[in-house]
Formats: sequence, C-alpha cells, structure tokens
Amino acid sequence: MRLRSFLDEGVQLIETQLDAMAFPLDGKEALSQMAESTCHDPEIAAMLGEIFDIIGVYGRLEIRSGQARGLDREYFEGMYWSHGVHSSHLLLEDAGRRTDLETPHILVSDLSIPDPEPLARLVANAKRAGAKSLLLVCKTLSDKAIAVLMAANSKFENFKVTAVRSPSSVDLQDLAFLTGGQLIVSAAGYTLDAVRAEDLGQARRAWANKSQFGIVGGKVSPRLLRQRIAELRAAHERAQDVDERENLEKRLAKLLGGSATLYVGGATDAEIKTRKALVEQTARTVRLAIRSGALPGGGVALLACQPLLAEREQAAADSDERAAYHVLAKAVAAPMRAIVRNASLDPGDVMAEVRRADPGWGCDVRSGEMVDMAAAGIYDAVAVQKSALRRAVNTAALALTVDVLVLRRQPPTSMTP
Amino acid sequence: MTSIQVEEMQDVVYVISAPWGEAEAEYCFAARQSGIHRSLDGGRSWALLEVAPDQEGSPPVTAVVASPDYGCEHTLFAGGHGAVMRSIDGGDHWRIIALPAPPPPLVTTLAISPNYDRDGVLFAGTLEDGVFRSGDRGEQWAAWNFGLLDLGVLSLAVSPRFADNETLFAGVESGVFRSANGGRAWRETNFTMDYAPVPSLAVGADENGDELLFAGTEAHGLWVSRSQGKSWDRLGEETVTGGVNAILLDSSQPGGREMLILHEGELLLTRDGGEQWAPLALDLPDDAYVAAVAAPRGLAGGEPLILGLVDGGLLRREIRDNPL
Repeated sequence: MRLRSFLDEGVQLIETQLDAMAFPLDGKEALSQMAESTCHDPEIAAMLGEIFDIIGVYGRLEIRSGQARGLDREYFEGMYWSHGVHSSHLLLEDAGRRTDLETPHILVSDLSIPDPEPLARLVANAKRAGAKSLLLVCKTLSDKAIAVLMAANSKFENFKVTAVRSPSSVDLQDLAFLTGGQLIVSAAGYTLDAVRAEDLGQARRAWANKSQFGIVGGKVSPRLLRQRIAELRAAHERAQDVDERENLEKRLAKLLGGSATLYVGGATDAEIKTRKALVEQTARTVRLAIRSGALPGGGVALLACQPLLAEREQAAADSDERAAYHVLAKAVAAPMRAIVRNASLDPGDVMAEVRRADPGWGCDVRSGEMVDMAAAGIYDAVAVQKSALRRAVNTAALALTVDVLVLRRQPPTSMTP
Repeated sequence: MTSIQVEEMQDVVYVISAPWGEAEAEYCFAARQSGIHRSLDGGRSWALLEVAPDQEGSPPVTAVVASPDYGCEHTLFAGGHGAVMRSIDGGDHWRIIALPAPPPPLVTTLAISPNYDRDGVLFAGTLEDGVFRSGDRGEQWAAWNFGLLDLGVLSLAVSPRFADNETLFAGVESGVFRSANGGRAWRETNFTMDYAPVPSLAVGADENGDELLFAGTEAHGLWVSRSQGKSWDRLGEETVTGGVNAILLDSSQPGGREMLILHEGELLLTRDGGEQWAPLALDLPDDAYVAAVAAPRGLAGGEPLILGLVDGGLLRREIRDNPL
C-alpha cells in the first residue's frame, strides 16, 4: 500500500510537469496537425481541423455516412433538434420538403393535441397578438388538429403555421430559454386552453423539415444566454461522469448556436464504418486537445519528466518511495521506446539523442530526423496523456494489491479516451 | 480655425467616411437618415446621391465605408435596411444587394479588409442578425455567426494585419467578440458584460507592433486590450467617463499614442496613448451634438476634421495646433 501511495504521488508530479509543458492549440493548421497525429489520415485531419476551428471546443459535430466516396461537411446556423413536422402537409416550401418561418411565435410544449378547437383559438390569439408565423412544438397532433393548421395556412394571407414533434424535456427547457417562452408541460397540469399569446417564445427565424427543426436568433437576452453558457461550462469542467459531461456538451453545443455535420463516404459499407470510427475517435482527441492543451508528441513530453523522477528517487529516504520513482522513471520512457522500435530504429541511440536535444525536440520516426515536435505538428493531447498515465499506474498498482488477477480473453473495449 | 456649416438637415448623421484621394480630390461620404451624401471638396459642400433612381426618395443609409485603395478604384459600400449598396464609380451609380436573411436586417456597421484589392472581403454588422460576410467584393453575402452569441452588432474592427492573422472584432450589446479565422467563427473576449454595449471599436499597434484593441462603451468609457481581448484596462478613467461613439487612431503615428474619440458629443484627443485627454475646441453652435467624425489626414495640428451632427449638420473643422 505504501508503494501504491508513492506511485500516486509520482503520477501527480508527472501531471504537474505535463501541465507546465502544455500549450494551447489554435487555428486550423494546428488543429489539423493534431488530428493527423491521431488518425494519420491527411484528408480526415484537414477536414476536422477546419471544422473545429469553426465550431470550437463545445461545438456540435454530427458524423454521418455520406453518399460520395470522400468526406464532405455542412454547417448550420442556429440550433436544431432531430424532430420533424407532424405531417408533410405542414411543409410549405421547397416543393413540400421544408417550411421557413420569419419572426415566428413559438409554442414550447410536450402537449398532446387531439382537439382542434383550442388549437384554432391559439392560432387566432397569436395572430391577434401580431404573430406573422407560428411554430408549434407538441408531442402529438390529431388529424383534425392538422387540418385546422392547414386551413389556417390557406385562409390567412402572410401567415404561416407548422407543428413539430417535441424533443426531450431537457431540450424543451433549453428551447423555452432560448426563445423566451413559457415551457408548457402536461405534467405540470398545463392545457392548450391555458396558453396565452404572451406564453409563446419568439425567434428571428425558424425552419422545419421531415426530420428536424431549428431556430435562429431566439429572443432570449444575449446577457442571459451568455450567463447560462458560462454556468454550463463551469458544470462541464466540474463533471466527473462521462455521460454527464457528454450531455452538458450537447446542451452547450445547442446554446452556442452553430453546428457541423461531417459526411464520411467510402467505396463499401465496411470502409465507411471503419472511417467513421476513426473520425469519431480523432474528433474526441482533437476536442480534448483544444480543451486541455497539447504536448510535444512521440513520447517526448513523458520522457521530459524522467530527470525530475530520477531526482526524487535519489532524494528518497524510504525504500518504497525509491522503488516507486524508479518504476515511474523507467515507465515514462516506454512510450518513446515503443514508437522508435516500431519504426525499426534503435531506441538506445534515438533516446540518447533526444535527451541531449533542446526541450520539445524529438525524433520524427517517419524521417528518422530530430525535429521540434510542436513545430513539426507532432502533438499529443494533454488529457489523453494524463488519462493513459493514470490508467497505466492504476492497473499496475491494482496488480500489486490483489492476490489474483483474472485475464479475460475478450476484454470489454471503451471508445472513451 | 475655419468653419463652414454647409447645411442644416433634421436627419442624423450615422457615420462619415473620408477616403480623401490624390492631390486635390478630397472625397467624403456621409451616411444619413436622408440618404448618402458626398462631398468632393473636403466637406465644404455636400450633395445627396441617387442610390435607387427608380424609387421615390433615397433610402436611409446607416453605414458607409470606402475601399482602402479608394484613390485608384473608387469603390464604396453603404448599408441600410436589408441591403448593402455598392458603387464602383465614387457614388455616381449604385447597385443594391439584398442581405439573405428574412426579415430584412438593419446594417449598423461595415468593415472592409485592408487587403480588399486582393481578397475582396468585407463585413456587415446588423442589429439583430449578426455579421454578414462577402468574399467577392459585395456580390454575395452570407451570415457568418458561429459562436456569436449576441447578434446585436454595433461595431466591427478588422485587424490591420488581417491578411496574416484573419482577425476581426465585433462590438455587441453584451461585450466584444473576436474571430481569428476571418469571421468563420467567433469567441467571447473577456470584456465585462456590465460595461457593454460597445458601439465603437478600433485596432491599432503599439511601439513593438503588437495589436492594441480599443473598445468604446455606451456608458462606461474607453477600454484597451493588449492581449486580443483576454484582459482589458480602462483608459482615461477620470476624463472619459461616459459613452464613446467613435475612436479614430492616427495610423501615420506608430505606437497607438495619438487617438481621437467622440465622447458624449464632444471630441477628446490624446497624444500619449490615453493618459491625458484634452477636448478639441471646435466652435460649434451651442446645441450642436457631434454624432460622427472623420479625420482623413490624421490627427496632427491643422489637419481637417469632418463632423456629422445629430441634427444632420455636416461641418468641416481643423485640429487646433497642439491642444495638449
């Protein structure tokens, strides 16, 4: 147990060293290089560099299978949800494929609307309140209710109404916040009859199609929006749980008001699937690198921690402490040794050269040359390095403190770095 | 000091662009409620330009900017309700280009790339729809608002080194945003929301060539950032206490030390980077309130100033020698 506690101390020391070496990643070129360090695919790297330069660390990125052979991307302004219209009869433009609404009033609800009469009253009230268009977000809509909306579209000149399916309750809360509307939920006893025109949210524009709807320029005060985003960012920084972090990322991405879709194509389904997995993994690493910073890659950053660990080993009075720092000092050289050996180079020569070189310099194993790793675009994400280090030490420490280890033939895999 | 009040009009002057020109060609343009006005004699006389001959009356113009190389190519942009207007012959003929965002956005400010003759890039800030960008000399426009959480854009400033760093800034209702990739994406700077809105911005350079970003607020004075918006310092706290609606830097004087601001309707000048400020004596009528200013030949003593008043008046004055 003493050895384990000294190992933990050593890990903290290495993490502090890594943080001190970290530098921020900024700009399309640096992001592309970071991506290429991970995926070794220039096309994917260039595309992800461009995308993350635009959407930023919290930006929403959807990765989908594409029709073409290569990669393609699409950017969306505003926020959108993957919930479409209740009926294709409510798609009024683009040959019945889409509806665009200008300065819409928006009902944000999870109501089921079977009865057409209160709906007709709501439409009339909204129109009386000066609405030029109306977007109804509701759980279900009966055929009769749909007919009321179709009638309103044909009866009123310069007025449009459409209805889309409700997203999740958290998304509804965010939608209500963004549009400045009252969240109308059935669980709280709300009915359509009780909805007043002033309960409706507003936006500059809204759109809907068969499978999605979105808004641009919600009427929330920008100050409130920025405060909410700051709160969510703080919660994201605090969050330890992976699922919680992912949910917060999704919410932040929506509130930040822009998103990208990357279409991954290929010659066969198998190729598309493999490339998509690579893109997803690289995107996660790039996101982590933007958030936590980057380090010189190729094992250089870990190797740079070795002198300090050796120093601690020398200074240690306790034999367990000495052993812990000795183990760690050997371990931090292992990644570079493996990389160099895999490139059929001599680890002894290369590592001796790296130790003599300036900080941040290492071996580019593709050319065998000594280079400034950051300048050459060979990076590692700080968070990935720290996570790998902690997992390695935890596993080793666990082995020290248990009597039996069970080796599973097919270990469960995790895609989370 | 000479002063010539050329006319009295009850329509506010939003902004003045004075590209000047070669030799005696002293071009000035004023964006006014009544339309765009042009002076060919350095602000001594003005004429209303016909922007839309087929329409009755002139559309209100809220922003105007001339290309950096105006003396050669005579390109001019003006912004109004839902559209940007372009002239390539110094204002004689105009083309109206609608912005692609129903309902029509109101253009509040225009900013042009310092390398416009090569990249053809310019930006339009709007009151409710954020920033629009054109990369083809104003032919086509698209909203570029990724990360711009506040779409109420009041001011834009393009870095003098835009060709290298693609950096520009937007002053909005709730602070200052920065784009480091030519407007494709925006990030918040650390400008405190409590001091916003930010109706004026300017980018200069210090003695070492590092960028200085100046932000004029609606009611909380003038601020400077030497770190691309990461940290901010207040300038002239004792003198510059209110709203700053325009910031003019003397680009001919390196170091960002000479600056003229429009503070609560009067002009304040500094020649030491903002430590000491002195009001410019302009011999204005008692009820005159300056709404816009241009200094086409810099801020040295004796150089001309073109002033636009809230009541629509357009004036030419000269900077008194060494007011500080």
